[in-house]
Amino acid sequence: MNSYIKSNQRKAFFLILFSTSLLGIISYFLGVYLQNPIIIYLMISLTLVSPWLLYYNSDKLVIKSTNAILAQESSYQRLHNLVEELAIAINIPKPKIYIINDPAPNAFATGRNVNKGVVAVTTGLLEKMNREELQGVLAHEIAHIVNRDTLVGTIAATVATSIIFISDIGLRAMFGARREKGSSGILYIFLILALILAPIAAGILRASHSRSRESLADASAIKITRNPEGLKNALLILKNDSTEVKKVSPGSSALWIEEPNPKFNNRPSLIARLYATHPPLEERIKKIDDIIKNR
Amino acid sequence: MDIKILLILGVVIVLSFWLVFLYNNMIRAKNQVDEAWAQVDVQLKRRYDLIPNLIETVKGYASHEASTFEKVTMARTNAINANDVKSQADAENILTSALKSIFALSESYPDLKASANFLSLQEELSTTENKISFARQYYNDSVLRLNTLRTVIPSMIFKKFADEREYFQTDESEREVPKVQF
Repeated sequence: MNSYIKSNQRKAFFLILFSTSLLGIISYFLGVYLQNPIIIYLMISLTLVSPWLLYYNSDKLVIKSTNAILAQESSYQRLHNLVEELAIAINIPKPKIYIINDPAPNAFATGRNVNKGVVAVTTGLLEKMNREELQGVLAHEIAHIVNRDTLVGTIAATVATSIIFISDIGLRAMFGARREKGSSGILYIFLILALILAPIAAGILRASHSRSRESLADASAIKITRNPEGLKNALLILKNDSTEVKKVSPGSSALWIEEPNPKFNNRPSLIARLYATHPPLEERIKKIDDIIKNR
Repeated sequence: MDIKILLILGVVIVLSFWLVFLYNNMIRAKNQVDEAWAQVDVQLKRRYDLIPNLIETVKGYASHEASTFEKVTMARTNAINANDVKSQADAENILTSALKSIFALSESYPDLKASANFLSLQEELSTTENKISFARQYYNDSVLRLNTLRTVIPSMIFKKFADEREYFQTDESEREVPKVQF
């Protein structure tokens, strides 16, 4: 388990290094092309601070992007109790708890280390699951924090979302230019950027999210709660539920316990279609069944 | 200086670092057990504090179940007065089953079951019960680690710096499942 955490920390480091270099290269070419000193200085400073921005602020960005709000202890007593129980079980500080106002049952975790852990659940999850099932889901999320999946996942989500944003601008600019006919060179730069960057974003997300990650978190969750049925029933509920979380950028889809389905996004993004981040729920349920049988 | 002296010096330094490491490891394991026990203790106290509230609430709806209340109160007193891990564990097991009888009793009083106060107490006791078993789980893991360190070579040379600890045993039936269903 320790080597798994180490490998995640290494991944996060290289991810930051890679995206900083990428930003540096883009800045350089943009600078050469534009010959505008103000933009060049701006890009250089952005490149220099970007590693720190990524490491310290990715979690806040992800929370912001889902419209999650801090869960008050008075109105979410049971949720707070559940999280506190699990924190006691593995002796970590109690993670912060956020609520997303959405009828679809889903949850995600973020945070760069166990001291900065955050779990977020939708109101739909709280309505549709009983105490045991919620415990299973929360243990799964806390396992992600302990395993540092959240460190890699959150940084990858931020990088990928930014890249998707840039490629989107590029693609729109291209269509705009075609209509106007008199296209300028800068639009072509964006277009080329978009074409190069889109697959890179997909690659980042794929690298950050191995398929075994979810099953590993499931196994850790069962080790914490010693109650495989709770998590299994929770996954069954997720499987049988057809509502989808509304506000999810394709870049952050890898963070959730269940894939927030991109087909209901108003604009299915190129990246989102390139691949899916989660192993099918059936596969995960089957693995839990194996654990129950071998007890 | 002679190369031999340097070599011996090097070996001595490495050896002493290693001994310091072994010693620290033992002390860390001991402190972890203490910390884990403190957490168990906090949760047990929390449960003692909740019980009088629970009895008051239930009394309001089911005043003639005096023998059940008596049993719980007695179990609570015994648990508070227990002074070593073994007797504490036994007393807590009795208290847990006594509490279950109170919640079983609530089944026959629909008004009680529906009261907001009772529901909130039920949630508080459920979570405390879970916290006790999770804290106990962590405590037992810590004890296992310490007791192993005390017996394996080479760290056993420092065993007199940390006493052997007792596991917090529970009823056989309860051990496999930490969840509670009141």
